[in-house]
Amino acid sequence: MNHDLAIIRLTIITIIKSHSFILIMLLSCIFAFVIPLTVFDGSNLVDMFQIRITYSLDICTILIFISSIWSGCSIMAGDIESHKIHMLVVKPVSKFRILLNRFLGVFIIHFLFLMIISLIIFLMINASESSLSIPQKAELSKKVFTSRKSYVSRLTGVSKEFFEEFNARTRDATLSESERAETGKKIIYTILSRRGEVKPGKSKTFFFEVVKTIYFDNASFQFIPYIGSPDILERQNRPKTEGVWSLQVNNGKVVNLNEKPETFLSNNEYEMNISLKDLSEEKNIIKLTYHNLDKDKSVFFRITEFPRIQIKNAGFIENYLKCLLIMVLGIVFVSAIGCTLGCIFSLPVAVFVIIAYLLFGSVGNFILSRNEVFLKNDNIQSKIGYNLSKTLLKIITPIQEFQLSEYVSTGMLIENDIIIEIIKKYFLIQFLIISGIGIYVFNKREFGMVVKK
Amino acid sequence: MFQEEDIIISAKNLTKIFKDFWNRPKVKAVNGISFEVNRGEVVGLLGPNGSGKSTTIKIILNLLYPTAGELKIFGENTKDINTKSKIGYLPEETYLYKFLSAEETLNFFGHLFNLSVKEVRKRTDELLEMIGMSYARKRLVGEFSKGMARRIGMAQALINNPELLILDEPTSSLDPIACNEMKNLIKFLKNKKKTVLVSSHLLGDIEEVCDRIIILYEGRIVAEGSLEDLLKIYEKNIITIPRQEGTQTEKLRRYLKEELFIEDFSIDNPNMSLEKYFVKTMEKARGDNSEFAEVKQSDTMAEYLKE
Repeated sequence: MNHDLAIIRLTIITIIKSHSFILIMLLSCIFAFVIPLTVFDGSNLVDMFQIRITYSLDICTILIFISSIWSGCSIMAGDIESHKIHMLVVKPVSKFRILLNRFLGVFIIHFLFLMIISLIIFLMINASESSLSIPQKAELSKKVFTSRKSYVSRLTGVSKEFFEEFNARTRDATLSESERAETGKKIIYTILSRRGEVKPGKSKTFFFEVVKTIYFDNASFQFIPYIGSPDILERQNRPKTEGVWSLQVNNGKVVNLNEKPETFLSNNEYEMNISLKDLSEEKNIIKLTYHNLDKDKSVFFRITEFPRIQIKNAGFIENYLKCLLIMVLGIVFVSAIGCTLGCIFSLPVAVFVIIAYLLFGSVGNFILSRNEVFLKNDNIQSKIGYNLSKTLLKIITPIQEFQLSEYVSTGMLIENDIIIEIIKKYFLIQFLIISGIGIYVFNKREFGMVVKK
Repeated sequence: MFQEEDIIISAKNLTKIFKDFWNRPKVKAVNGISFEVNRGEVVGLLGPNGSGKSTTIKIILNLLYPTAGELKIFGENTKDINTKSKIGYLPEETYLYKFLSAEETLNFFGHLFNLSVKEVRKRTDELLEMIGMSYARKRLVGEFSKGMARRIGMAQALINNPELLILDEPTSSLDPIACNEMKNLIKFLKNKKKTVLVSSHLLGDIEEVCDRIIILYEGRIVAEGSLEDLLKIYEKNIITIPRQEGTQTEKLRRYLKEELFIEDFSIDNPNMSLEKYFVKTMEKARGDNSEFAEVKQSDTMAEYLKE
């Protein structure tokens, strides 16, 4: 046990004494203090606070991630190159324990630093909120300093409808793989548009399955109408429509949410408060009905996102802590990557690999999200880019996946499923593979060899 | 004949071939050597640069893996963790953490042997006293001269009270006084039945402290045996007597010539070695200025090493 603590302590001292760590930590502190004080947008208080929270948390965590990966890498590669590793491996400590304790040292110091920085950000945000008026505070506590669970409308029979239509369209046609994918996407788009359409003068009911929480009086629903077509994205000269929303909880009384017909702008986000007092302990069905009073134009909703019901599920602090937990998992992950790269490569090569890793992680998802364009183009370069990205993303983790600051700033509940999903996706396979490679190389490596620098 | 438990290092046909990137053999650094080091022996590894001394030591310490052959330390494989707790190692260059103080360095290495905090503190104090660096205990290793860092390196090699001490060029970077202390320390450890394996270019050092030497050349053992066997000139005798006056010397000369019929002899005053002379001069010069010395000479041995 003593030797474990000694190596962990040595690692922490090594990191604290390194110039790169001091620089990164200074930058983090500056961002944590300065950003909450410098972002001003008098027109929209909610936006201003959301930007403050997102920017401060994102910048500081990215810096901490970079520091973790760099520290792990430089400590391992530095020890090997300077032969200091000789002094450790000749002692009665297994190579695995040396590597593990080095990793733990890197993790612990960055974990502690994340805790300090996140506390500073939290206090700074709270301090800037304290000077606001009571209505402003109330608005923030509803939209920012909260943790709301989102429910989107229930979709049934979509896959059946999809396959019927897909089979009908492709049965007699000879289509290439990319053409089939393109057809499939078009069909899904058509089905979802149809499901989200409220025809002129008609009504459409959206069903939500909701779980009761203690915050039943703190619920709202959000929607974005698209008038005339689901593809209208322009924000200028937007068409208008008139409509009314009504609510029914568990076959209870139907309540009109608008006292008189309301005018809605296309592609504009709306949020309305609702009361959900009559929820039962078991599964609840909420019916939200939109009555389209426009006689000419259909109103469309992108039903995979809107309308959605948001119910407060927990406090801001709980959500903030969950966000920190994901960041801590991120530190575990990047520290392991750093230590592994340091075991395999010399310092300059490791630095190059780290930069490549981080860069690719950042752009890999973007390339994949553009797959539609690539498939449409159907040229060889696009296909290679797409498939290469897909393959590399199986072993490379974009570090931004460990940042959930947007959830915190928009008051969206970070559900446990998200945490479990991250653990399953990155820790059960990628983390084990990366750590396994590090342990294997460290065990097999002959440290007595002359290192070519 | 040594019993099996007294064989500390046993190497049989030990071979190390360095390979290139494509796994093709490049250099045969150690070429099928076999030797044993027994308990309480001080064995010197000699040889020119590239003869395989350091490679052999690195294989013993599991820093390199042998390509062929068998190597046992305390009857165990070199990878065995428990075996490593009996070994002290002073590398050719002192690889220490520059941002740690002398005291922190010894504490760190002490903890690697899972010693209790109290024991580590006690041993650190005694070792710092022994190497004459108690006064610099709080100074950072990065500020030390080569010689001072070497002393700390030696102290860390002794922190676990090792049964086997492996010293790679132990006197490099040391001044003659420190060299002398190092040799005294090796002799002290020898008296305590510790086993010491020394690799050095300085033949004088090896000659003074070693019982046995192994001479390597191009990865092979070219000579091996006790110093007495290898160096003694059995064809000649040396007689050392107190200084005689001129007439007495003449009598002795006549006696050797006329009574013993020896023609080929010489009578002269023996020379002190330069190292001994230097140490003596320094002792004289030290006087009252000892507090300004870079490293203070110490005649004390760490108590726990005496046990």
